[in-house]
Amino acid sequence: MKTLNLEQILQQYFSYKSFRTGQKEIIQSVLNKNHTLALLPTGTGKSLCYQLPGYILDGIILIVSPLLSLMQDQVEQMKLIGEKRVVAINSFLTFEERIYILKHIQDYKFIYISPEMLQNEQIISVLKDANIDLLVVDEAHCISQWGYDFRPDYLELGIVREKLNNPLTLALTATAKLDVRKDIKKTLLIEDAKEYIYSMDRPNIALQIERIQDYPAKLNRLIELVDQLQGPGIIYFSSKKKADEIAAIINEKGIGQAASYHAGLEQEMRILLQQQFLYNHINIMCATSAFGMGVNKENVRYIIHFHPPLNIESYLQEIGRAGRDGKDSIAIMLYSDDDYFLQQQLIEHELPNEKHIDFFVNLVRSSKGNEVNQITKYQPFPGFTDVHWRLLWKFYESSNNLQEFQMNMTSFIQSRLSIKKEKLKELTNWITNSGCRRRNILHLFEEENEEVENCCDYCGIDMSYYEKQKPSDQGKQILQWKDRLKSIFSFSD
Amino acid sequence: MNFLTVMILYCISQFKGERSINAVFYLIQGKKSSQTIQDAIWYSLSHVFSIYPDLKKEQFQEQMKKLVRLQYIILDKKTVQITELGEKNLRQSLEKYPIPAELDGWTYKDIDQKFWQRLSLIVQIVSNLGNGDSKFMPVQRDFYTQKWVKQWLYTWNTKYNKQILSKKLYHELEQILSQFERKKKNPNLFVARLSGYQQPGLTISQIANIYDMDEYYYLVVFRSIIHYMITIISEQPQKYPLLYSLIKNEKREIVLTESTRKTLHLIKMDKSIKEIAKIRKLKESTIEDHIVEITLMDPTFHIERFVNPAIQERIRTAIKKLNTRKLKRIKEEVSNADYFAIRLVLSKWSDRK
Repeated sequence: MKTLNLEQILQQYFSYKSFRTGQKEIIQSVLNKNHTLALLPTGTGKSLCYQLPGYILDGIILIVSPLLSLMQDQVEQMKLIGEKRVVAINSFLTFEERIYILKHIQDYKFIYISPEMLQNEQIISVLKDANIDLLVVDEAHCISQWGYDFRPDYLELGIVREKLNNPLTLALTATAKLDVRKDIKKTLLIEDAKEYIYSMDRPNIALQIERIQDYPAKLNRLIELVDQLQGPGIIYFSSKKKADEIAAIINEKGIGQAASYHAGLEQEMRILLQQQFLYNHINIMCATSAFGMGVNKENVRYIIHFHPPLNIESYLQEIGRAGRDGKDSIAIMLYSDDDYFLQQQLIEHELPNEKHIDFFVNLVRSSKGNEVNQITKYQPFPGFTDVHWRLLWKFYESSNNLQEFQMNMTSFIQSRLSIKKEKLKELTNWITNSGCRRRNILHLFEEENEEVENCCDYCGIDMSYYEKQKPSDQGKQILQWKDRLKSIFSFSD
Repeated sequence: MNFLTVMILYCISQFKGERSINAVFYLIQGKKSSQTIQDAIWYSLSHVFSIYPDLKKEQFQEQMKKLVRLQYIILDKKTVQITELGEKNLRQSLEKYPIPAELDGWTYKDIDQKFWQRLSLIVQIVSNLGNGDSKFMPVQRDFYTQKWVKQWLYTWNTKYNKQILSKKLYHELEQILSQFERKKKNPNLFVARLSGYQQPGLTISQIANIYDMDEYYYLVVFRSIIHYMITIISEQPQKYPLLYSLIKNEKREIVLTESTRKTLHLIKMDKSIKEIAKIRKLKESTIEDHIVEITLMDPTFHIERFVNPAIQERIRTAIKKLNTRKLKRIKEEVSNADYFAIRLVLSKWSDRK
C-alpha cells in the first residue's frame, strides 16, 4: 500500500488538524489488515478509529453497537460531518424501512447494527454479499461474562463473524481489564489481534469524594457546589424523579440554568436539551446515565455524582465527559452510606426477577408458541425493561422447553447478580479506602499513575481552579414571538 | 388536578354515565375503531379524540383511582359516572383552563403531528442553511419526515432560491400567527418550540414552566394552535402556498373496514339490507352495523332511504328532550322507531363540534 497521508484525510473529512493519543496507531493497524483490539478511554475519540478508515477502504464498515440511543446519535453525528451514506439497523425501524435499507444496502458506507439484528438470517444473507471491509465491535467488553455490562447477544458475534466470512475486525472498548480483553479475542476468534491499550487516566480531571451524612446534607452540599463551581456541569442521579426535582430547585434558586434529561423524554425533547446544553443555553444538566453518550461537548467543567454509579467502569465513563478540551475539570462524588442499599436495589432491578419469569412463562403457555409471540417479541410488556424482555426471549428461544428455560434463566440471573455485586463492592471499596484516589483506581486496571497537580481529595485539590470565574448570567430573557421568529429567519451575510 | 385528570373527567361527564371506563381511555388515546368513533360523535367529544395518543394504560388507571379517591366519580361494573362534586370541580378547572375552541382532534388526528414535524424541520434547515451551516443536528429524526422534507426543499428550490424561500416562509408564519394573536392568543406558545441556527427550541416542560401551565394543558394548547393553523391554511391555500404544501397531499380519506366497504358497494347498487345480507351471507344486523359505521365516517352519506324524515325528526326531538344517547330510553319515547333508526339518527345528527 502506498503511504497515505492520514493527517490530510483527517483534515479533509473531519476538520481536525491532528490525531489524539492512540488514534493514528489504531487506524494504521487496521489499514495494515491486522485484527485489532483497542482500549481508549472515554472522551478521546474512539469512533474516529473506524470512521477514518472508511474513507480509505473500498467496502462497507459494519459497526455493531449495543445501545440504540447511542447508535442513533452516532448516525446523526456522521451526517453532521456531511456523510450521507450512513444508516442504523435496529428494532426502531419499521418493517418497510428495514426492507428499503436492505434493498439499498450498497448505497451505504457506514452501517450501524444492533447485535440482535445480526441474529436475523435475512439480514445476515444480505450482509454476506455486501462486501464488508471492516467489522467493528463497539463496546466490546459487552462480550465478557466477567464484564460489568455483559450482553448475551454479543456472545454470538464470533459465529456471526464466521457467517460474514471472517472480515477484518476492530474491537473497541473504553474499559476492559485483562481477563475481559482475553474474552473479547477468544469470542471473536481474533486471538492474533494486535492490542493497543491506552491509559484510563485523565490527568486534567481532579477526583474528589465527599462522605455525607444523609440526604438533606447531600442536597445542601450540592446546592453549595452548584453555586460555587464554574459550569457547564453534569449532575448524575440514579432516578428520573430526583433529576427533575433538583433541576427545578436549581432554577428556582437562580444559581444556574438547569434542565433534566432522562430516558423517559421523547426524542425531540432529548435533542433540544442536548442542543441547549451544547450552545450553553443551559449550563447544568441533571441527568441519569442515559445522558452523555453522543454528546460532544468539549467544555464540561464538572461532573457531580449525586448518586454513585454501580461500578468503577461506569464511573470512569461518566466522569470522562468532563474536560474533553484538556482544561482543568473536576469530578465530585457525594457519597452517603445509605447509597449502598439503593445501589443494591438498582442492580436487582436491572435483571428480570421471579415474577417477571413467571409472567413470561404464562404468556408463552397461553399463546402456545404460535405467531403471537413474534409480534410481542420486540414490544416489552408493561413492567418489563427492554433489557429484561430481550434476555427472556433470548433464553426462551435457546431452550428446548419451558422447564429448561426457567432453569437456565434463573441460574444466569444468579450468576449475573453475584458478578454485579462484586463490581459494586469494588466501587464501594474504592470510595471508602484511604490513599490516593487516582492511584487506587488505576491499580484496578493494572496501571501506574503519574503525578498530577490537582490529583484528588487525598493528595489535595486547590478548589480555586474550579470556582466560578464570573457571576452566572441571568436566565435567558424570553423573547417576544415576533423577535424570535425574526431571529430564526435572519441571515448573517 | 392536572389537565389529564380534567380531560378524563370531562369525557366521563359527557358520557353521562352511559359508557365504560375503557371507552374513556380509547377516546383519549384515539383508538380507530368504529365503537370509539361512534362514542366521539354521539357524545360530542370528537374535538378531544386522540388528545393524548401516548397515554399508557397504567397512567390512566392511576388517574381513575385518584378520581375515585377524590369522590369525583363512581364506578360500577359496566359504566362510570361523575358525581356532583366532580362536576363542580370540572367546571371550575375548565373555567381556569378552557379547552381551546380551535381544538379538533378527530379532523386532524393524523395530520397534526406530520405538520409539526415537517414544519419544525424545514424551519431549522432554512435557518441553518441561510447562515451557511449545513452541519447541525436535525430536530426530527423520523426517516420518512427527513425524506419528505428533502423532497419538499428540492421541489421549492427549483422555484425560489434559498433567500426567497426563507423570506416567504417567514412571511407566511408571521401572517398566520399575527392573525392568531388578534384572537387574544399567544403565538409564542408555538414559536418557542421552533429551532433555528444555533438556537434550539424550548422543550414542552420548559415552556409549560415559563407560562405556569401544567404540561398536559400545554400539550392541548399547542395542539390547538396547530389545528388552528391547518384550518386557516386549508381555507386560504393561495395565501399560504408554502404552509399549504405541507399538508395538501394528506387526504383525510374515509377509512372503512374491509367488510363495510363491500356493503357500501352494494348499497350504491341500490340493494336493500335484506338483499345485501343474502348476497354477503351475513346477518341483517351486521349489515346495519356497517351502515351505522358509514354514516359516522362520511358526513355526506344520506340516511333517508333507511329512515323516513318524519321519524328522524321525532327521534331528534326525543334525544334533545331526554338528553341521552341511551337507545332504550329513546325507544320508549318514540315507540314506532326501531333501534337501527335511532342509531342512524344519532350518528347522522350528533354535534360534531
